[in-house]
Amino acid sequence: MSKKDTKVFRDPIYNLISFDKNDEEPIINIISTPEFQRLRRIRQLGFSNYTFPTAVHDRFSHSLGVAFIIGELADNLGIGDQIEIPTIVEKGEIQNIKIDKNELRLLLKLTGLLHDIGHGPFSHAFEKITGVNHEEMTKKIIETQSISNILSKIRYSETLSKYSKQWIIDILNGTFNPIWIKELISSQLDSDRIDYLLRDAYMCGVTYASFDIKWLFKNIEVDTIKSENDREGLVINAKKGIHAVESFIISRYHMYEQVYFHKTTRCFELIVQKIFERLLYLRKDNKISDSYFLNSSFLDILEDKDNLNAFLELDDFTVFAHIKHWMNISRDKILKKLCNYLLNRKPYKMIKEVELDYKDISELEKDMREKIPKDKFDYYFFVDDYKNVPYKDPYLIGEKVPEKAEHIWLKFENQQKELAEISPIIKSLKNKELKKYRAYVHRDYI
Amino acid sequence: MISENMTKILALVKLANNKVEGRTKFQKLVYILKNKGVNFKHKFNYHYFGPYSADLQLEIEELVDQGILIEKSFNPYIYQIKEEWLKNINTDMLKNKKTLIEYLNSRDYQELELIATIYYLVNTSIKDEKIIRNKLNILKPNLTHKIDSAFKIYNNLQKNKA
Repeated sequence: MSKKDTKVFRDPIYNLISFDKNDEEPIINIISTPEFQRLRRIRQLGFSNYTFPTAVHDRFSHSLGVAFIIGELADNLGIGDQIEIPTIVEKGEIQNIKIDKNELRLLLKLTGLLHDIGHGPFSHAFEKITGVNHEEMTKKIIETQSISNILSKIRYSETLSKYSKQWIIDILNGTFNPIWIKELISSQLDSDRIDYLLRDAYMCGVTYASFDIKWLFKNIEVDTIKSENDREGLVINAKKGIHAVESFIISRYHMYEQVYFHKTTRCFELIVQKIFERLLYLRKDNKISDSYFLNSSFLDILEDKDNLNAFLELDDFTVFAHIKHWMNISRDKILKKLCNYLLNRKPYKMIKEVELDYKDISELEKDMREKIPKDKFDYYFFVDDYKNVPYKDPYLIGEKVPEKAEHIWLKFENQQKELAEISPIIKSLKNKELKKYRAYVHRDYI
Repeated sequence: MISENMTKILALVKLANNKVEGRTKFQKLVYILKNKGVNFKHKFNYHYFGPYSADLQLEIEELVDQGILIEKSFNPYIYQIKEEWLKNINTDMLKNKKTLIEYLNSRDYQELELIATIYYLVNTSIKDEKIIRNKLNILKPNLTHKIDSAFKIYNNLQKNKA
């Protein structure tokens, strides 16, 4: 028996990530596109490396990881040989298109690979200032000739050649049926979260993300969710799998507290936001010339958030180059200083942290307004809010029982129950202490 | 801290005669109003019950935690602004939407679920009514009997630019 011809990536989380050069050829082709290679230049964790120096991994490795782990998850689900996908076909009619297990596996891996392709540099701050929405960009990139040509020529499956693009976009839109297929990439317990938790923890050098992934996969299945109109969804065998799910949520809790909402990282995320805000303010007042921009892409995206070509030209490297340029040439002292603080790691001081009650911060803000000159205030004093962190989890900061939209279901012999209802550990994690506000101030005004 | 979004949430509840019944209805009201030009900044994703915003849910909870909004009972949850806060809630930013809010709030939550889903599908670039109807048949097999009336309301909402 000859060995399969594979493309192999070495990976610190899964050791080897292999793709079959024949059956999974479109995956390899997509990886080779400039659109996907761009993800090598987008950091996964923004400024976390200012706190955890080795957290310099990128969306490229995360996307490979999701493509790998979603395949593993699908293999463990015990799904039937054929899956029917109700699809809108020619003339807007509905047709049930059948695919086999291997076709589904490839579809899922392609979706995992592409799910983050629309992320831009410095994700959150950049999106806030430009109005770019990475989910919309992801779909636009999938529609480009470069990607859609690959998806329409899948040698081993005519069905996927015809429908994979439409299905991937539907899965990412959340409007795909059967819904459990969408849940594999986007839900409270999905391959995206599994990969980023494991990868982020490893790359930060922390050991908080520890959960029994193989056991978890062994105990997930597709079943009818009775309280959601008998739809099919992912459920976990309560008796065997509950502890693995609990560790998964606890890992998220630790990562949220220790990494994603770290006070210094958040400070730099806000400083970069202030840099963009200052830039826009100066631009509005005609106080900056074209010489502030090293290429037209940055300006083009500020003019038109939907400019795909401009967007694809931008990455962390381009934006960092601009920030360095502004530090050197800017005549505006505030912009110059903010760029210096970011490039040379000069964080502001966190002077207050409160849970829920904002009154203390309001009073502090009043004091600070007296100390800091008016024109500098918005840049030298700011308040961070737990809601700004993109990694939110209703099992940590939501109400006692999360919305139905965000349930993790466990299966007993005759019934299904939502995780927080039956796990005292998860129930107790839901504490209001995670709902925090933090006030930061420039060190000259402490 | 009462954010700009939270101020709008409170204005919405006040204009809904200070009573929103059910979390689903609350979510869909905000999503439909967002599509009718109200600048709610919440990010919505599609879930089984239609467009849903975790950010919105968090802000509603925060208003409850701060004692401004009351969340009564269960099945459905009922949201009301506490009497002592009510007179201080400024509704100016939503004033021209009062009739629309009252009308939407008078519909049942499943209709709103369908209307919100129609908006969501249109926002994903599906423009053809037949395709949207068939997509609804796929996504909402339990609500097919309400698709016609939801479409009628949606079309009226589109005609009426207010």
